[in-house]
Amino acid sequence: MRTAPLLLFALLTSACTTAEKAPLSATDARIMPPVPGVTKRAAYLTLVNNGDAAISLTSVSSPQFAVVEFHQTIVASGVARMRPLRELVIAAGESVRLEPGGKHLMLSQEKPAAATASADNRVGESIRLDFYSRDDLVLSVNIAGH
Amino acid sequence: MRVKNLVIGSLLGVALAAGIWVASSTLTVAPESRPAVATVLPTPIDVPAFTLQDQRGARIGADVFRGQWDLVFFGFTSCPDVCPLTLGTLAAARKELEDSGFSPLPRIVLVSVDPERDTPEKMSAYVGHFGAGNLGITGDLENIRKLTDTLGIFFEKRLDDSGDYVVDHSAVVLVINPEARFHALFGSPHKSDNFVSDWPLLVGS
Repeated sequence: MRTAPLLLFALLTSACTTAEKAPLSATDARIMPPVPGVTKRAAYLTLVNNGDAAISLTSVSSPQFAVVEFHQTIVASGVARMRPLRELVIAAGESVRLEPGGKHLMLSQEKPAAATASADNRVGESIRLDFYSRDDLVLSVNIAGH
Repeated sequence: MRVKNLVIGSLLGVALAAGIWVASSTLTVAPESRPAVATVLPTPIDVPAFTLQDQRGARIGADVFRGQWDLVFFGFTSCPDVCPLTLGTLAAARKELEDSGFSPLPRIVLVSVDPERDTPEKMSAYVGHFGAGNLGITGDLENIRKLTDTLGIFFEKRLDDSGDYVVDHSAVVLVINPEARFHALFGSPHKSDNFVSDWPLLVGS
C-alpha cells in the first residue's frame, strides 16, 4: 500500500518531464544567403525526434515566404534532380538532416519586408518556419541571418 | 662450355633486369602528376560553333572560351540547392588558388539550361554574386543544345503540380582549355579541395 503513492508520484513526475520536453527539436538551422534576382532559397537544419513515436511532418509555413516545401536533391548517374517530398518522417529517437545536396526546404515567393515587419511573426530579421503534422503545429524555428 | 653458358646466362639476366628497370621507370607516371579527382579526356573535344549571349547581353560564340582556362557548370538561377552550392564551391576554390599566388586561375562559367527565364540581366546578378570575373551564358534553346549535345550535358525541363517547373541537369563541372577544347571534367559531389589540388596538374598537363 505504501508503494502506491510512490508509484503514482513517479508516474506523474515522468509525465511532467515528458510533457516539458518538446517531442521535436531542431539544430543547426541555416538559410542560403539571398542571391540577387533569385526568388527561391534553400534552408537546412537537423530535426530530432525526442519522443517514442514517429513524427510525420506534412507541411511547413513561414510568415516571410508564400511557399515552403520539403525537397530532395538526388544526384544519380551524374544528373541532379530536385523533387518535392510529400512528407518527412522522423522515426522515434532518430534525427533527419536537411543538408546541402540532399533533403532541404525550398522557400519561394518571399514576401516584401513591409508586409510582415509589423507582425509579431517577424523576430528581428530572422525567418520563422512552422512545421506541421497534418493540422498540428509541432515545431517553430527561427533562423537568424536573414 | 658450362662456364661460358653461365656467363652468357648471367649477362642475359642482367640485360633482362636492366630492360625491366628501364621499361618500368619510363612507363610509371609519378602519382602526383595526375589529377586525383578530375578525369582528363584522352582526346579533347572542340567547343562547337554557337551564338549565344553573355551576361551583358553581348553576342558570343565559341571564341569566348579561347585564351583562358574555364570551369564550366550548366545550371539555372532558380535552382536553390545544387547550383548556388556548386558556384560557391568553385568561387571558394578560385579564391584559395588566388591566395596561394597560383596562375593561371580558372574563370568560372555558368551556362543556363533555363534560357526561358534566365535573361542576361538575371545571369549578370547571379554570376556576379559569386565573383567579379565570372561569365554567364544564356540565349536561345537551340544554341544551348548545340553546346550541351557536343559536351555531353543532359538537361530536361520538369513541370511540377503547381505549374512551375524545375530543370534536371548534369551536375558535372567541365574544364575547357585556352584552345576552346573540353579538356577534363569533375564529377559531383564537388569539393573545393578537389579543384584546388587538381587545378595545377590540369593546367600544367
